[in-house]
Amino acid sequence: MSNRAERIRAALAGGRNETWHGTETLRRALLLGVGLVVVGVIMHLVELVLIGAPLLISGVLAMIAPPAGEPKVKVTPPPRTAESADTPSVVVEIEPSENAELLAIRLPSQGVGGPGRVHLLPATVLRISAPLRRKAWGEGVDVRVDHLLAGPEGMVVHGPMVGSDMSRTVLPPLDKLPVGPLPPRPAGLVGAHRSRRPGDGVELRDIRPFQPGDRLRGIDWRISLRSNNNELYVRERHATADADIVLALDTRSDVVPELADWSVSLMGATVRPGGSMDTSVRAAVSLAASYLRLGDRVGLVDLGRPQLGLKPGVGRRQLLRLRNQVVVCAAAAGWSASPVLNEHQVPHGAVVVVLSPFLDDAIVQVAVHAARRGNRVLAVDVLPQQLIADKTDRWGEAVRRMLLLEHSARLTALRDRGVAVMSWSDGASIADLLRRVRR
Amino acid sequence: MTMELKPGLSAWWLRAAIAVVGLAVLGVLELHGLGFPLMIVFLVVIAVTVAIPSSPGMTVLIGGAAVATAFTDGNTVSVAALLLIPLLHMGHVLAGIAGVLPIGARLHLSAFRRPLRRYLLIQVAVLTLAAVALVLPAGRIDPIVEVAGLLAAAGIALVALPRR
Repeated sequence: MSNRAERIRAALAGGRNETWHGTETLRRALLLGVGLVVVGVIMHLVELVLIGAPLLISGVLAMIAPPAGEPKVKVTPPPRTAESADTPSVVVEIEPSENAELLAIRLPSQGVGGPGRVHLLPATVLRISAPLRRKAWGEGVDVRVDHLLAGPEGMVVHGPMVGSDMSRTVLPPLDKLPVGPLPPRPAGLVGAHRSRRPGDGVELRDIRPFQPGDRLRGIDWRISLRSNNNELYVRERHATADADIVLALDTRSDVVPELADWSVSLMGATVRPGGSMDTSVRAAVSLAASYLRLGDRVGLVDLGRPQLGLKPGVGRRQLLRLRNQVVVCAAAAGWSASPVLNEHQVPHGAVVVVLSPFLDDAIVQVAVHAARRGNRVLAVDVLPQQLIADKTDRWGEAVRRMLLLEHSARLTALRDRGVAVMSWSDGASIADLLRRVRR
Repeated sequence: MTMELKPGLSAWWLRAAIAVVGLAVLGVLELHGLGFPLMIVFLVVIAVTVAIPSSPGMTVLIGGAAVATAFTDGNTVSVAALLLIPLLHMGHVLAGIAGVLPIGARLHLSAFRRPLRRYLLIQVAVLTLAAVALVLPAGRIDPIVEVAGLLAAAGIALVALPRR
């Protein structure tokens, strides 16, 4: 029992990997070296002696000056949160043991996702800098410095030691959108958008007779002098206000153009590059950046997991918070059967932007219910433009056409119920649509 | 000084080198008159060594090749044996390094500088010994010298054996 406990304790502490220990190569060198030389001498077979001699010499050399001491590997981690355009590097400092000759270390490699490959380097290297390549946004691990130090010819080794995972979050990239006008439903007291109520904005709302309480600087003297009734007239302007935008992200499905891949789980990544989730997230953060720049309040709703939502807020911190939150939403995506968007999640009068591939009727109902509650709803379709049928299935083309017909019917239903629908193709079309909706 | 990490070579080259060395050993043994059934056995051993370099495959290959050469030749140093000395030592070195690396590892040639230098020094020493053995007359040696040699080999082994 005590032996077992000791073995478990040793395994948890790293076991023999934490000390220098011999390998099969050392056993081979000593066994064959001594064996061949001794047998050769006894049996007078000089060839055995000559073949065994190099092994014996290399084994003896390895044992005469064995590596000693505990090597240390120190990692300077890159920032935990990064932009996808960043090209950071991880720096590893090594204190090798005396007489160590080879260093096998796992470092980020070009063209390889995750912590990278093991590199065989001379143990004389004391400091290594490895560039990190981050081509996809999301959470992940791109540094885990597993390492092993070896003596001559790998006869004695220290390790392999498993490094600790260094996770990071690469934020979704921001596509620059034209600063578009917003549908006329601003909710705040101040801001950049024209409000329905009168105020101190720029746009003319009305010209009316002067009333007690009006400011004198509001009097339009030209019109007052021209009038025949000797009354003063004032120019009334629209107030300006900010708006609440709620980005509703449909995280229940992530589909790519190839229909055959829809039911195939993706290994090693949470989001398919170029898929509907990728497009949704990029669109959401780009819209958020665009509206936050105008001073509007932007919030997030995860239709699949309502608890992951983010209340509307303003400013650069809100944008950073939102970009981090969409990464969390994408990581937890794909588990909910039906979307949830109730009145508690959406402030009164807010503009709701539903980003979805619209692959089921439930999402249409959710969008329509939001519109009926009085919110202005925009539907952004993120289904890939060209769907490719499964060629291995004889029903593949029929399935594709059926899907497209159903999808088209859903978008028509949305339009019929007053929901503005657009496809996320380019910024110009989005600005155009917003302009049309505003009118 | 900071080393900028380069992509390096695939570790498959190391395994390919083991395969080449193994096949060269097999070729030498074939020229030496090794029978077909034993060739198949050696081929399997080489395949195992290439697939799992940390396995005892290389031990079997070196031992088998040494025994096959020595027991068919007698007590003279043949050309086959002279070819096998650097080949088997090279196989031992390559398998030793490949044994501590995973299959998808990347190699940086600077790591091989010291092993290669040591390999060459040992080969020079052993081939000098082989040249001396070729020059020396064949025949029985005085038993006292033999016992002294054996004791010397045992002493080296005692020094070399790990203490733990």
